[in-house]
Amino acid sequence: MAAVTCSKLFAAAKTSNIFSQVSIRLATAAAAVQEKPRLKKFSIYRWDPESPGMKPKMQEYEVDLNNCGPMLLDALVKIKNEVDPTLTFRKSCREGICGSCSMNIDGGNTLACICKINENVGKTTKVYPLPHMHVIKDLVPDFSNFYAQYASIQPWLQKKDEANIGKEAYHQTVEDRDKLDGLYECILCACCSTSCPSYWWSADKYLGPAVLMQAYRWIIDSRDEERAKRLSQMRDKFTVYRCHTILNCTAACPKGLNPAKAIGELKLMMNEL
Amino acid sequence: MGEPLTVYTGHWKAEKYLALGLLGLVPTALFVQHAAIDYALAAAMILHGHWGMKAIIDDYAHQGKKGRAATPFWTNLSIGVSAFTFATLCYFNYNDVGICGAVRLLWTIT
Amino acid sequence: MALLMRLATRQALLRHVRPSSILMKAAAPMATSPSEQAKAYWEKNKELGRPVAPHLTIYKIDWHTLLSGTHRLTGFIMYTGLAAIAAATLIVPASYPAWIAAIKTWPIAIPAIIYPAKVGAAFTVFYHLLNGIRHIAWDFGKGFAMKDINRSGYVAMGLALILAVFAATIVPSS
Repeated sequence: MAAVTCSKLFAAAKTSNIFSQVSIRLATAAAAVQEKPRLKKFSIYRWDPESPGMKPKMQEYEVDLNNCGPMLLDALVKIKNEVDPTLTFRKSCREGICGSCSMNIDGGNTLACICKINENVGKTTKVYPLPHMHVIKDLVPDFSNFYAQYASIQPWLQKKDEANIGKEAYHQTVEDRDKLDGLYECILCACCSTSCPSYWWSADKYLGPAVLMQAYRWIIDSRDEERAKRLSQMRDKFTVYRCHTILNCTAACPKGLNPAKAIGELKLMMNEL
Repeated sequence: MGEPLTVYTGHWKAEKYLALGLLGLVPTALFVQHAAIDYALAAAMILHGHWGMKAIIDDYAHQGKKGRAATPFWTNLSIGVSAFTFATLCYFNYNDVGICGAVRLLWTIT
Repeated sequence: MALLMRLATRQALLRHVRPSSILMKAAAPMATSPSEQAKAYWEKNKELGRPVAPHLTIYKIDWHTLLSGTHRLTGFIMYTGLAAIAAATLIVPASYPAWIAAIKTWPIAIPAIIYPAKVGAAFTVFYHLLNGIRHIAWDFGKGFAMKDINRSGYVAMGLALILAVFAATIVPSS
């Protein structure tokens, strides 16, 4: 008896569920037929190393925003999937934490995966690779110099007495740990460094905001013991002092960090040496 | 990555203290006219401007075909211009109306 | 039992085998230092003829970028102007007050031209001075928050314009 009631109830529930499902489907289909496509133009920088003698050019693509996710990376992936499979760009996490998809969108450096598409279909969105970087292909720049500069600041804890490494935990007060907030979150996307005009002109000798902020991060870490050595290696005219507080870096950071402030503090520390 | 050959930190500090000094000197010059102010202004303005030009040269001079080899030429040229301008301003302060007087007279043109 | 035998044998053997220095060198990571890697970057990119991504022509000019550029521009103008005037004092024979008297007789010495020229000259000085205060604040580590940067920028630009317009109206008694 109970089983029959149960099965009847279940059947009733299923029928009503099916009814609502069907009605939703019909409504969506009707809406899709009536909706006009919102075609947005994207003008994207293209360069192919395998086309001999090719000059970089801008190529235009059209994307229907009704069938596209909200972020610029969604548009790029859609273009690559449906329109032009040769469009080349870096991407990974699609949530603004890996730093792969950094590029110049409508004049500003940011991460494509967290940059909302400007829905004004009257305007063309311009997409360029990170400024003043050598281009490997399309939107993919060569990061080797950036990475070499990062390695040069020795981004690891250094202790004076290496004999005791690993024997005890390195404790840190809450106040000392708070000093690292706003510094450790850097994802090394290079949006800041490639927005800095000084880095454009002197990338061979000037380290740039991203690397300098990380140098500062290791210097003020209370567990690091080689502060004087780190600071003394940066005292020449170019490594730090090409920074003229133009402040493009802080404006560009997609994670909301403040490299300019870190460099300012770094300069003050170098005064005390 | 060892110790750098030239240390710039002292220069940076000097630049900032000079800027502070000039910041006090210019408003003073607007209200007090005196020969001492003329000479102090000449020295401070020329040095501040010279160091500013050095920064501009260090930023841009290496952009051309010659690369970093072009920088010393422009640096030497700016040293020449600065020395010449300072000498001429001192001469002007001594033999003519001086900087404060010059600005004042210029402003009488309507 | 067999397992114990294998483990014991392995322990005994390992105690005697030391990694030779030759093997260690082969197992070491890439020996290029960061400065060598950086140098290789420039040479490789030049060789491959890779283009440099556009910068000045495409980067958006924000309010703070404009302020920074104007600061450098006003400094450059003032310095080259001073050098030019210094050169002129050596070339033109007459004394300075005689110059000024002569300029007052020129046809361009009418308020419609002189007043904007004075505003321009005064703005150049006042803007560089006021923006210089922002720079000094940054050099002491203050005022780096984005909203402070923008707000202090508005104050510097606005005050410089107001002071310039006001200063241009002053006519000192000769």
